[in-house]
Amino acid sequence: MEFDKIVYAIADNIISGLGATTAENTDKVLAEKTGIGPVDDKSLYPEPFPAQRIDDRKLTTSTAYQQAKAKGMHRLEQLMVASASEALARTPIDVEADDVIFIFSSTKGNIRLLDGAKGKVPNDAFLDQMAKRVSQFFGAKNDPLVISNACISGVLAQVVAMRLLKSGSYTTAIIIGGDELTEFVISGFESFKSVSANPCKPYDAQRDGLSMGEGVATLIVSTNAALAGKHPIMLAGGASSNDANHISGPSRTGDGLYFSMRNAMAEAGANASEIDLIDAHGTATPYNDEMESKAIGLAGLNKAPLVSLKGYFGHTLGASGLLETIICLECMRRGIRPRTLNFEQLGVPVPVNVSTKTEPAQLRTVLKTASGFGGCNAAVVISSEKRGKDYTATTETKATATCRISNQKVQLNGTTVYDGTGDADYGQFIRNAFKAIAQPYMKFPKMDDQCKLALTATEYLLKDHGTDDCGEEDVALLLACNASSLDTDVRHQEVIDIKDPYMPSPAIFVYTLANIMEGEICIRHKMKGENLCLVTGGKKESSGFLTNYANLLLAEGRAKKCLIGYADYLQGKYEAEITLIEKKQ
Amino acid sequence: MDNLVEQLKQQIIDELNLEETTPADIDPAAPLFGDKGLGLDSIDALEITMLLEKYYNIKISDPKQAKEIYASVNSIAEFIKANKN
Repeated sequence: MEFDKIVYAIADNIISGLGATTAENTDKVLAEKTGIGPVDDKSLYPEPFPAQRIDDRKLTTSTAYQQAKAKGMHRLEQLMVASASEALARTPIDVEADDVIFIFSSTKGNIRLLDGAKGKVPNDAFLDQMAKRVSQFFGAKNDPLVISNACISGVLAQVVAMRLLKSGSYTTAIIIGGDELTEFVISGFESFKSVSANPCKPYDAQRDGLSMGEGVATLIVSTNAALAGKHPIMLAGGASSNDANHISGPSRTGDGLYFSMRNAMAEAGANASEIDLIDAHGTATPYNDEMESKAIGLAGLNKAPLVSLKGYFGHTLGASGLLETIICLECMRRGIRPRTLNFEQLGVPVPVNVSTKTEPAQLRTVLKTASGFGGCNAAVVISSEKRGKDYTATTETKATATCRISNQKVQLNGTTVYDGTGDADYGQFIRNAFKAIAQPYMKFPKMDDQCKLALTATEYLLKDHGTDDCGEEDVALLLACNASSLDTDVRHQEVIDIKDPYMPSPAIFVYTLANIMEGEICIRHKMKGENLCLVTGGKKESSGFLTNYANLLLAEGRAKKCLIGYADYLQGKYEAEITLIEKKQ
Repeated sequence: MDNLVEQLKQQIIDELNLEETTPADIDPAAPLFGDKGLGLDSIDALEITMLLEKYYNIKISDPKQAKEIYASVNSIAEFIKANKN
């Protein structure tokens, strides 16, 4: 295969409880040392639980970390600065250049700031603000991109970076992923009964839940071959998809994850026998691992060695996909296949080849996957062989229809189709607006206000400008927001502020992710195509990127139609504008 | 028992946010989960667990046990009667 644009992995860093560099972390993994230990900290959870935590004191030798601290940046930002600066120090990249972009992957960012804020939302709790502070620390000129797509964020950020670089939008991307261990997240996972009392046991017959973790990771990728080094590894293919099944429960068939794996492998030109290792999500919850085994079976990858790194790091949320990819990169360089820690006896319905030994192995092509709340999945193929394809196709696209919701009015292509200015408040307005176009839908009353907004806009949009002529994988859903899920985050914080009785609610916690609105739309309209959820400074800041990204997906045949737009709700203020675009005939 | 069943119906409607449902709509013998009956899901099951803790001081930790108990409003009511502290 001959092609020009190759996306090289040129430098990386991991900060976790296992170390402050990629080398330190990989050393521990290959020595089969875990970072998970008992945590007894009442400020995080009333009962002791096993988790992996970063020891900040080990970072004091980092000048950048000290500078970030002195500037008054928040803890997660300090860690991100420390991670990115360690990786950047090994490259000659000019981060201030026009062709460099920072891409962040995080589910909750500075969510700890809600603790004690008494229902207010501090400006620094917004994800776009966190990203700006970190990228501006390095003097970046371009606005950063923030991907907040639940637990697939770290893999999806790589897919997006690869696409932006291959399409020539930028030469270099600095991808930074991170999430902290907070009471906010632990209480939520505990309310879901997802946390094991013991270190997690991926794919094992006795597995009974995940372990929490925290981590920050940086991966710098570039199409500049001069930076690639002697034995380069490249991002060769990537994809995302949705289960269209349930907002928290994994698919019962594994088809969604399979679609991501299949599409990423197709782009990389890799067949099943060429995959030397699968590093899957492997959280060790009963349903996740079961689902993964089915997807691996559908992809014909039963024989490929399978590893989950969760036994070393726990679930590091928005960092996990990135952090675990970097461990794979380093294992490829060292020629060692890692073991799935704590795995003893196979306990998933479809037979898979779980890696049970740390041993020398030639790892040329590795498939990394992730799956998350909102039914989202993503996969990326990394390879030391020259694989992939150029993005040369271009296409003319057209906007078929736009639905706009604001000021208690629904407008379709500029015409008001529902006027709710007489409705008492947003709650009544959105309920009536939905009722006016749709049959009763049991899931609607349970949704949070942002999901209701996005779903209602989509309902109007697809009523007359349908996607009936599309297959289940043909429609891509690309949405942005500014407040992420902060409206519901405040509700969850209010619940966990009550200590006696301490009763975090799973029905609230599940909506504390920005991409759940995409999950609800995918379930409603049975859409299993590409997914992306961005956090931007506002509607204006998202439209150019989303239009270009949709054009790319349409030109490359990754979608026949795209739903793109903006849906944002925070404490009574709201706006939605979603557009259906497709190829010109 | 009948009082308990009616009380449970209202608590389920309130706690699970079943806005469009009235107690009269719920057949106490019908399945709560799956496509038939109320069509509740796994998040609803966790909320029922919380409801039982909150109003009846009953803790259910085994998900398999929960599946049997939560079959219908009647079966939950029977379990409450048998386990009330």
